[in-house]
Amino acid sequence: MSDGRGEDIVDDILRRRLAAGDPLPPQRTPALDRTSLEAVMHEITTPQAPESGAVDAPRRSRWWLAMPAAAAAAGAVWVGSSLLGGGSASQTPLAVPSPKSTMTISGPAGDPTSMTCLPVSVELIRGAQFAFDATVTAVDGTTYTLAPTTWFKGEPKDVVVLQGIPDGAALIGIPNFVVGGRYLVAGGDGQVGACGASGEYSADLLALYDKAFGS
Amino acid sequence: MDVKEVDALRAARTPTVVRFEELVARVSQPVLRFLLRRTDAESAADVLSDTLLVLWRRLDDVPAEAELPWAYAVAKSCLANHRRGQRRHHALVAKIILLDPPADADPPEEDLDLSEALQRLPPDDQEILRLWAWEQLEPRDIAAVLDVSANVASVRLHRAKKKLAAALKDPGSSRTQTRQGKE
Repeated sequence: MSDGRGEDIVDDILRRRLAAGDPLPPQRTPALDRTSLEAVMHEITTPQAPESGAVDAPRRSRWWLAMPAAAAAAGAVWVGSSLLGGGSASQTPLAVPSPKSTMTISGPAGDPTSMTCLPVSVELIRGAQFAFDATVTAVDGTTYTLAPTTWFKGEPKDVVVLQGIPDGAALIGIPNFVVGGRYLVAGGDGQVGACGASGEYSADLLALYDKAFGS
Repeated sequence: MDVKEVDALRAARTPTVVRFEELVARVSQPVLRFLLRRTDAESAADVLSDTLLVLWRRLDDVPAEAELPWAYAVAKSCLANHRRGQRRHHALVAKIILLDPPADADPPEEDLDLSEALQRLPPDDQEILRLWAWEQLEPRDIAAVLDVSANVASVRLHRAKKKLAAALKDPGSSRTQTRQGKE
């Protein structure tokens, strides 16, 4: 049985021998073309205008809601109906909910790290299937109970249960729901809208909802 | 967006963008090497773009003390998606271009005994040994790439080294599925 030092030496020899067989030693490594790298970095870090992005750049994402490719194909993540060519007739706010009615919605499907966002716009929010103003009344693990006070769109319900918010949801603009917090929530296909479509109640977001759904 | 707007955006780079650019300057070449050791050049360039995109979105999560292993872990995940055919829907318009290395660069000498012994190990053992010897990572950083604890990485590395040493000592051994057609 070798002592620790002997083992270290053997390790060191083995490591050097393996490293010597590296198929890509530094002198044989291709270099990154700086101009192309900068172009990629610029594209990554530059916010994309929704209108031009949606129309002019077919290879770019058209999402204003986070949407991975696979999920998009499966319709797993809600996108504004204007993007899908659908769209329901707009509906004016409010209405009295039927007693104890509940709607259950989920967080966006997929891994937030593989999603990206475009800036939210009135046009895209207008494509939401539901939108409401609500306060969180309870949290149980990752399930949130919301009590809507105003419905901008969709069939009014007494209670909305939101479940399955994925880890890293903040990366795609899903608000951090806390008990007592007031939120504006828009979405579709049973999923909460990401990327700024839903958020903590604010005058700015309310103005967007008003423009999208207001009478 | 016209040229003036692009120029204005460049001039007005936010601290976050600057931080991202500095990170990319530190990790892009090692990540490229990591990828080129595991896939072809075109895929490596595409997966590097994907990796940078994730780094940008997760910039606040990148641990300062282990940013390179963290970037390797992202690249590994992006490469796995790429191999499964799950290219990102938001594939970038811009493409990273790789410049050929000098034509006269000598290829590494092939250590046939070692490469054959390595090939006979299970893939997970091969990968941990590559991370150790090619990426020159220590167990703590290997743990970050493989998303396991440092202890687990240490134990796995130790076992992989033992297996490799044994395979070197006994080239004929194996329950291994040696490559067919070898003499």
